Amino acid sequence: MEVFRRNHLNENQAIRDCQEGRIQGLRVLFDRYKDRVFRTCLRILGDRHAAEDTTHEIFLRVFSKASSFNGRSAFSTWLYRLAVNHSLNALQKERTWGKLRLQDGSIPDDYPASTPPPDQILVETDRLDMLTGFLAALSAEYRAVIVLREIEGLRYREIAEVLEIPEGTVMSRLSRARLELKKVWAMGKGQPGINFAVSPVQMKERKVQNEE
Amino acid sequence: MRSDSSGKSGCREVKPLLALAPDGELSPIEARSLSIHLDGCAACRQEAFLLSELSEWIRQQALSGPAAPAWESLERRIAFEERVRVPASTHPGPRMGGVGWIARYLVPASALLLLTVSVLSFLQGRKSAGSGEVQLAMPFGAAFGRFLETPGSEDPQALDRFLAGQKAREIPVEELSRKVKFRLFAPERLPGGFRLKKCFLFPEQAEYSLCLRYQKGEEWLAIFQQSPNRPSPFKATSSRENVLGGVPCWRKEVGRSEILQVEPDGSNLAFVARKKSVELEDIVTLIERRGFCMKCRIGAFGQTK
Repeated sequence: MEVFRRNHLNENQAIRDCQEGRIQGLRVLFDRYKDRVFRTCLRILGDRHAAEDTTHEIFLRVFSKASSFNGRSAFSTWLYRLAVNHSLNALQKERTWGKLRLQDGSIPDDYPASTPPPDQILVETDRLDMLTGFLAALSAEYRAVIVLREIEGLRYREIAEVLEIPEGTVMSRLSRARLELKKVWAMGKGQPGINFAVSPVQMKERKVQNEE
Repeated sequence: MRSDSSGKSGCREVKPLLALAPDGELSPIEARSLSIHLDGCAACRQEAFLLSELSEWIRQQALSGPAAPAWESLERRIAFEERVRVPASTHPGPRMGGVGWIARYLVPASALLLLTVSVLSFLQGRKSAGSGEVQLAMPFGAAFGRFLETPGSEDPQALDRFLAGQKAREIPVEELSRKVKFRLFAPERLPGGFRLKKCFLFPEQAEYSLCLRYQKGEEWLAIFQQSPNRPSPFKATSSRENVLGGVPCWRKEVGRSEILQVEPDGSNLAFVARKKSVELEDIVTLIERRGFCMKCRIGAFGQTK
């Protein structure tokens, strides 16, 4: 009986249930959207446990703040917005806790305000897979547009709605992000043993070693 | 092929369009301009090929990956949030996700915490004012080992009570940084989903200087920072980095419990004690690889000597 009811509640009903504090609504929305939310968090954060935590927080927020969803945008847009914002906030907090170091092992004095150029950054992230290491080469904002476009398949207009930025900004960020990734891609392509989980700096060093 | 000067200019102009071509969302004018250029530019055609290959690779990689958490895990989290009902403002780092039903417990929980901290401070003050030395029944390590053996020690609140008995007081990490006169970084999250809940400061003469208590559901995990020198580890004698990451770790037995001991270059010791289901191997691996954990650096707030 419970399974039957769950399958037949439509999304609007599920949202209304959440707004009225009924947990079965959250269950419907969770089952429908958990993969998208988790994937988005996972690829922005690059860490499975962090992504699980953040996914939970997002759906808890959906339940507690369902009344703030006014229906002006699609629910999925609102949800993606929560996922991206929570992930970016979590990423910022993780950086604040000293995961970013310069090559000599020191931490910049004005950290996290300073942003050293990419070729001086030794980024240590939890290497979930090659894609994680690859995306780590991007800033958080560029990573978000890449994830929404390449992995979630959103159109420019949808990405603009999620990120609350103009469509032109989406296009320029996406363009720059891809060109940035292409540099890393081209450096590693075809080289035996190259692991995209290493930093761009290490890849450069390995390239030099191979050439010597 | 165009001449060098106009060809280079054309390539530079179309590069942003090239990067957007895989999406099929260029305007008709942009698409035509790009198409005309590609007809005459082998370099840009190669670039376009690489970019489309890159997009495809990202999509394929994203198909494989861990599965999303199950509904049951969210249910457990909801149940935990209901039980804990801790206001976010009293914690050093973790966010409680803005769950609405916590709000109605905010005032009494804050009052209780304030009372607890006040009592601990009072007791500590009394002790410090008297002898300047904290007298405990037995060394911390032995007491902690005994605590781990007692029934109910898996309860995070039992650990809090134990620490209070060891004269440790809860302190926000920001205040701790000001107190120790150097910037203290503490990770908000540990491998396995543990999140920072409380930070405890031991009395100055104690064997250990501070403890970070992490929690996942009803499981706790604690990181202790041992005082390297008596009377105080916080004297600014040199620039120090007390880093757990990238250093050898090994297991020690304390009763029937396992403790992971991490020893940096001999300047400080810290160890991780855990209960229940967290796999020490994972923590060892992740601490070594991630290079994060407690990090102290002189100079942010105080003065060096």
